[in-house]
Amino acid sequence: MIGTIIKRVFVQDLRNRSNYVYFLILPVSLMVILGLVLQGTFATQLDSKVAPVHVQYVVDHSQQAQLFDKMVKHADIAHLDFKSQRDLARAKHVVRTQSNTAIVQFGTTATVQTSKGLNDYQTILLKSSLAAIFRQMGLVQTAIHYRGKLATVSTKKLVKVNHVQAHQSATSFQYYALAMMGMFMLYFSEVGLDMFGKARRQKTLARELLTPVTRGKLLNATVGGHLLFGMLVIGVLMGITTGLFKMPWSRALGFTLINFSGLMALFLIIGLLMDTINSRVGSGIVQIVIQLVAFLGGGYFPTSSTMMQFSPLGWIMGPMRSALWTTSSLDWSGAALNFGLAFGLLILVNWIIRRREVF
Amino acid sequence: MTASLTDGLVVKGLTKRFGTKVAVDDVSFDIAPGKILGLLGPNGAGKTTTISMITGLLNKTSGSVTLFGEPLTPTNTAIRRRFGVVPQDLALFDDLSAAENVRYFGGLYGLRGPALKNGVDRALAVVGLSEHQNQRPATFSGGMQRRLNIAMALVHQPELIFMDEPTVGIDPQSRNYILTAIEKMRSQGMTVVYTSHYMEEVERLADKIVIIDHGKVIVQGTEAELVNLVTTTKQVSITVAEPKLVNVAPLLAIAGVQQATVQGQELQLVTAVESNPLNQVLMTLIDQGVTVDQVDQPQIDLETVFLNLTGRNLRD
Ligand SMILES: Nc1ncnc2c1ncn2[C@@H]1O[C@H](COP(=O)(O)OP(=O)(O)OP(=O)(O)O)[C@@H](O)[C@H]1O
Ligand SMILES: [Mg+2]
Repeated sequence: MIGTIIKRVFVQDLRNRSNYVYFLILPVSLMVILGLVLQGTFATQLDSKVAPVHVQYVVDHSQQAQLFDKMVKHADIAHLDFKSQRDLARAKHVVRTQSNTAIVQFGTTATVQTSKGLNDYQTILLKSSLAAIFRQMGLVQTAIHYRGKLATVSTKKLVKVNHVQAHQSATSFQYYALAMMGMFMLYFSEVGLDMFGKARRQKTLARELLTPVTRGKLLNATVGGHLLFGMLVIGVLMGITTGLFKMPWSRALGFTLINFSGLMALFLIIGLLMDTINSRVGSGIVQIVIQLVAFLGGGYFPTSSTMMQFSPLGWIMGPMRSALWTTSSLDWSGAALNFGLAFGLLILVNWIIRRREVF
Repeated sequence: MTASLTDGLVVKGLTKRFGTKVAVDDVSFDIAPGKILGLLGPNGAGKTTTISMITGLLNKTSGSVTLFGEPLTPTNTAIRRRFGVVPQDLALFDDLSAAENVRYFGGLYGLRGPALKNGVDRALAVVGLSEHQNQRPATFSGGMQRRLNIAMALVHQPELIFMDEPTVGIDPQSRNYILTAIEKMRSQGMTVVYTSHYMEEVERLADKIVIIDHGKVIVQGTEAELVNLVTTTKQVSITVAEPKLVNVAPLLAIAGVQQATVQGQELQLVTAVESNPLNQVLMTLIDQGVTVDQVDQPQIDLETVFLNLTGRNLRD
């Protein structure tokens, strides 16, 4: 019976045209518009004009060389494209004949050779990145030598170096794609507000309550159906933003999906709670909450971390940005907080509904 | 009859208060399995509230209800599988097709697989919507929507069905279709509780009639019992051309004639309900040389019964 209800709700959500406006057309067009308007605020002009440099690296079998090989393989540096090359003569031939190429020959010492005509920015980028990698190698080696606690300490430093040097800052489009997706999760409160409102108007709710399904099951399965739909919305938006803005979701796919889902669940249930208490006043309150949470959480423009502390949107924006554009460890606190609150409020709604004569 | 009642519906002293308003006031009735109970009353009489309490949608202020010999509790899901309700207001998902609507409720009653498919097909066939099963209710006429509303309560093949004004506001054709379907259900052994404020429907269908007004049961019984309850006599008025020629004495001698008076052009008779002395009266009048222009014999129907008991018309 629960499956029957979840399926019915999901199908209804899929067929509801206003959902396509709210959760597809509106967010994507806002991402494009705001991204265009604010282009240049988040990325340097220079950045976007740089052609990628193809770096071939040749390593011998020393321990250090193997470490270099490992680090380079995991480095994801904008505009630098590392490829291992065994044949030095062939690598040299490439550098002589093709532009935007370089060789890093790494053994006990390192030698760098570049093709002619690399611009200043490309040269600086290559040199600074290599310097950062070498520095990290020194730290990592220390950690390897001593193991234990030192490894943790050095990892944190690595992150810092990497973050500054790796040059992976978000483009304005990417910044807004993330913020808009977060913001439109707030609009799931509208779905929550009308979760049973429509069923009451259509009288189908009373009809469902005449069947052997209990109130609690009906309530929670209906919430479940909308949650499933919400997760589909998140997945689709992730797909679209990957295509349109090259959003690097793949760097933290599970993490971002869960973070968005937590926010979506919370607002779905906030809407439901407001409707349960008083549908007329509820929809007004929900509108205010959405605007406040969006503003404080950086939905419209970047806000300070203090402001973000007061917004469920802010709770997940920081951790998600870190997850996507730095290599620091994942911060689950925002998602946990949102899911925890959502769960608590759902229990409250269950309690209220169970005590009332009319659902 | 009382023995089989354990398998039917028994309502005792059912009362519902909304604040100070008493919507249903000490209502008691019962219906044996396989019979149709007509719950008749004007707007606001308390029919829907009564059904809502019986089916557990509203809490009772007081009174008791047993369905199939058991009380309905919030956790007694087994009983819920055995009855169905056709709500007074259309209760359809407008974004699901007719078949999806019926199938969904079949699913809620725990039907799966072939049983569900058969249930859906049968329910749609009973109301004649098989050919339109993939259309959404929005594309339906009012009558078709009403029929879908009924099919959704039939999918799990209930033993007892409550129908709250299932024919309200529809064309005569659809109405006849529905009434025929209900008669078919009874012939298959289903118990039906049917509310209406159309007395013709109740007269046609009901094995037992309960008339309620202002939340109270005014009277209950078979149609004949109700008519007899209101009156044991019938009034007949005969319009004659020559009132002066009428001799009342021989008329009063006819068995069943209780009163005979002449008023202007009309001869007023009061006769016993059981006997039918009219033929003899007319022959006697002809013997007396009287020309009979017209005979008026008002039918006693539920409307009259209701009017008699409440001083009001059933429909306002
Ligand atoms: N939730 C409620 N709160 C207050 N009063 C109510 C409520 N529901 C019904 N009533 C009142 O109870 C009385 C009976 O209503 P009910 O709907 O049972 O009548 P009904 O016989 O079904 O009428 P109709 O033929 O119009 O459907 C009416 O006076 C109605 O106003
Ligand atoms: Mg009613």
